[in-house]
Amino acid sequence: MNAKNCFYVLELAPDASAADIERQGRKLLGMLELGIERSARYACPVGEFARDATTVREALARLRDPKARLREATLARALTGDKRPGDDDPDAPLRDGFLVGGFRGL
Amino acid sequence: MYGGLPVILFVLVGIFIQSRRKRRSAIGFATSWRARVWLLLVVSSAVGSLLAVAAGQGWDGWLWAIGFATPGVLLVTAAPLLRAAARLGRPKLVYVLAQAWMVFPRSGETQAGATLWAALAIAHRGGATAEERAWLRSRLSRETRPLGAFGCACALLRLLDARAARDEGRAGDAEDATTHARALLGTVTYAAPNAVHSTVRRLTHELLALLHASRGQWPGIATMPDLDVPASVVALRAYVHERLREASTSPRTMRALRRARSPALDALFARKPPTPTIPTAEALARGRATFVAMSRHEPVGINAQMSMLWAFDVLMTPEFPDTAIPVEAREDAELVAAMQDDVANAMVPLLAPNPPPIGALRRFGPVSARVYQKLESLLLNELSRMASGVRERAKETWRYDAAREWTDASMSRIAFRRIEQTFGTAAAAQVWPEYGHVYCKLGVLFAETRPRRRPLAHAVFESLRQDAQRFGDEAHAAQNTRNTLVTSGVE
Repeated sequence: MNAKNCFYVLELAPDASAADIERQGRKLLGMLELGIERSARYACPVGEFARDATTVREALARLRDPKARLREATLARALTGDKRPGDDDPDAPLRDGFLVGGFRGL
Repeated sequence: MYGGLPVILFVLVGIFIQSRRKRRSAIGFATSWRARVWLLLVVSSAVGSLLAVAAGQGWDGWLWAIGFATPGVLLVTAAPLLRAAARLGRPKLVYVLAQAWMVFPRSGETQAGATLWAALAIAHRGGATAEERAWLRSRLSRETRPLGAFGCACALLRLLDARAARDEGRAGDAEDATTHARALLGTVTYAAPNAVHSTVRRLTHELLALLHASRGQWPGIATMPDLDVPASVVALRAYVHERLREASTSPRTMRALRRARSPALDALFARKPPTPTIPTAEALARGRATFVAMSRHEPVGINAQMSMLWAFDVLMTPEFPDTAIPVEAREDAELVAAMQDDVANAMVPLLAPNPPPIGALRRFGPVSARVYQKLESLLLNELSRMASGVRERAKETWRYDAAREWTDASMSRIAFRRIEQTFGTAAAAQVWPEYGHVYCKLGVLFAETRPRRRPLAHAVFESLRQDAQRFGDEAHAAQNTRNTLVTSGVE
């Protein structure tokens, strides 16, 4: 699941160093322990999701393996893009297509 | 004028006897007390107006005749009038009017009909609350004759659910609900003509067309029948036929566009034709953007999905100069394969609800080949699970409430359709014998065990009949033709 990418969970860039990862992980675990509200959620290109101490520990453990870190970083980089997927393409979906029929609630 | 009354009575009795003779019960007057009252009121109105014209003199007679005829006309034209009233966005009012007007006397779907119009009013108004959706569900569950209006109402409810889930940020749930709605609307299109009021059929096609357009599933609009549909749907269909296939706009389309008066449709027709070639960097950026959009459960067109697969084939090839694979990993074939697998694993769940025609790809790369293989496993497993479930259900004759059975029948068909959509007709033909046998069992279960739901069974058999004809399976086509005849009534 893309949203569970370890770099997203830790809110780090895919090129973060091992030291940065450890520091961020400890910081988040501390914040979660203290019950700081903003640490319980994280935002990523896919959306906003809940986070707890277990997910942070899992992400930390996975990123300690260099090969797994490379894999996670590659996947995280793949999910970056500031473009929209061509709204002007002739066969692009008609956003708010139901409004064409006057259906404001669909 | 004196001859009018016997003619009306003769025609009504003729229809009744004819329907009985065919054992189809084209009109469901025999079972529904509301329908009998409806018939009585219409006949009384007609008789009253004729007598008023006969007995009265001058303007008085005509005024009395119009007075008598008005309730009859309102009763006969209730469905189109309610469709128009629903646009006002007053669900409770429309619900009460629908109950009072006894819509759908032929099918006798009094609860489902009223609920459908109420749901439609909410859909036009916008912002269905959880309480309103619960209210609609409770009203719909009272229906004892779940026919076309019932199926359409279930679909509309799922679309309202989808909108609510989207507003609450539950994109995955919204996608599921939309898939259910699309499948349910598809089932209504297979239902017998007697089981679906013409207004409901038009509404079903309208909703399906708008749903296809909003999801970028343009081929679905191209194959829709040329029914009497609103101008917006005419314009959408013309867009597919003229813009995506040829490149001209006919006067009929222009008239439909003017009638629809929609800025979204104008923007659609203003889209530029595709450029034959785009720079590689641009194509890769679009591929990444499509991946991000799909991960957010945003609708994406079929071409964009196919381009995304191509882009990631390129990006995940270590030999490509701008590859996404890090330098330190490029020499490690095992690690590269694991990364390609990761990307494919991330894509498959996003593609599965509405898979692209990946079987049409001419060349496969490291990602598209993996996606193909994983999609094949996933979709065939889904079909196998459906087949096992139906076999067990048929053996034990398990029956559920009407809403669940409509959804089950619809989603079972979708499991097969996805395979055809993804891998083509040849792949679908391979799984057809098993699917045809199992889905037929489901139809027989609905038709022959209590509570009998023959209109739903008819939709199952009709879809099987059409598929059997496409695949050249004469035996199944003949068998399902017989089945559709047996289940074409609404009783």
